[in-house]
Amino acid sequence: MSDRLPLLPRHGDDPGEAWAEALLEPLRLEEIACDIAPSVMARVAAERVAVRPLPAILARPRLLWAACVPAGIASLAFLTIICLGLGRAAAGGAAPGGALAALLPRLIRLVGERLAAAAGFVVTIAAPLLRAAWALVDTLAPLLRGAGLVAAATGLLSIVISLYVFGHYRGTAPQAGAASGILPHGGTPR
Amino acid sequence: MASEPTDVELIREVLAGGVERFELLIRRYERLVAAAAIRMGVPRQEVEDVANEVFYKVYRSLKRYEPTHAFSTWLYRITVNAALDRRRSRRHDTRMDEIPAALADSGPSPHEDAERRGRVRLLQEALARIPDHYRAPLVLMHVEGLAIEEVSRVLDLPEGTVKSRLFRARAMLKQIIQRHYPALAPSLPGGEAS
Repeated sequence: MSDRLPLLPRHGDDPGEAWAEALLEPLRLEEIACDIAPSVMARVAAERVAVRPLPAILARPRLLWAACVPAGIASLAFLTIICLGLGRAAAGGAAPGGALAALLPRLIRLVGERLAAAAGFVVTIAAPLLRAAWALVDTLAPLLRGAGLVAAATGLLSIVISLYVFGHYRGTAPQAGAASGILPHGGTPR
Repeated sequence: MASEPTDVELIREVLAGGVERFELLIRRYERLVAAAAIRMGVPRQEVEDVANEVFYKVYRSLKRYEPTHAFSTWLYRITVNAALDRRRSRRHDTRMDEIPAALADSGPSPHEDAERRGRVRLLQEALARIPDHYRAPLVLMHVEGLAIEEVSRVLDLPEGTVKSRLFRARAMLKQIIQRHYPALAPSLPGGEAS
């Protein structure tokens, strides 16, 4: 006799629901003892201990990213203020400031030329390399994001340290000008 | 006297942070899950492991439960999937010589009880010969007592497919009983064909 099962049974092969119910009745009546509640609850409790919610600040990366922008602006503003402060504090302030102003157009032109040359280079030669580099950057994006955060944090730290140094040593810094006895070119008044 | 909380009430309490209330849900359904797993072909010594996995999965996906359907239906679905996964991963051979060891019970039993257990064992053997996708609707409907629409929901199949699989599963079971376990055939009008 063949042991193959009738995957496509003929009409009339189905013995009917009542037949199946009667045949399988002992399985329905079978009592199964099972006590798994303690082990499941222990597992659930262990998971609750292991997976505590992250601190709110770590759970909100968008907030952190948003905070990076004002931090960057603050850093830039601080840098500008320091430059202006240094310019004013420097002997007389006018001479270095004027020299810097005269230098600025040349500097801008030079940077522009270099940028244009670099753009030409990128378009003609380095585009494939840049595409590959972009793919690499894309892959390393999480790492770069982390580095960005570290950079922002370092910037903030530098602001704090600079403020401290600036405030703490301002009183003891040598005074420029005739009243202080030090002239801009380093000599002393007669 | 306070009435027993419903499944949905318990689930809401668990989701609101009362995790300890999940134990009541487990107590309420652990036998059902264990029985369904055994009937789906999971060896008895692995049943607690499978049931544990089922309830842990239920706990972790409790937010996704839709109260429009009975909790037991959802539970059956997870149990059937877990049982089938277990069978696939372990590649359990459904040959009849392996089944008795898997279903061996401990402790002595009276004569009638032993006879009943023997019948249960043979029925499990017969069911184990049917392919999983035919056995699942057969067990859910004729052993677990689910209606066609519930079986359809548990297995995520159209009712028509469930009906045709049931038809084939019963035909296969009839043939298996005729060939290998003629003593099990029930004396019913349907059994006359056997």
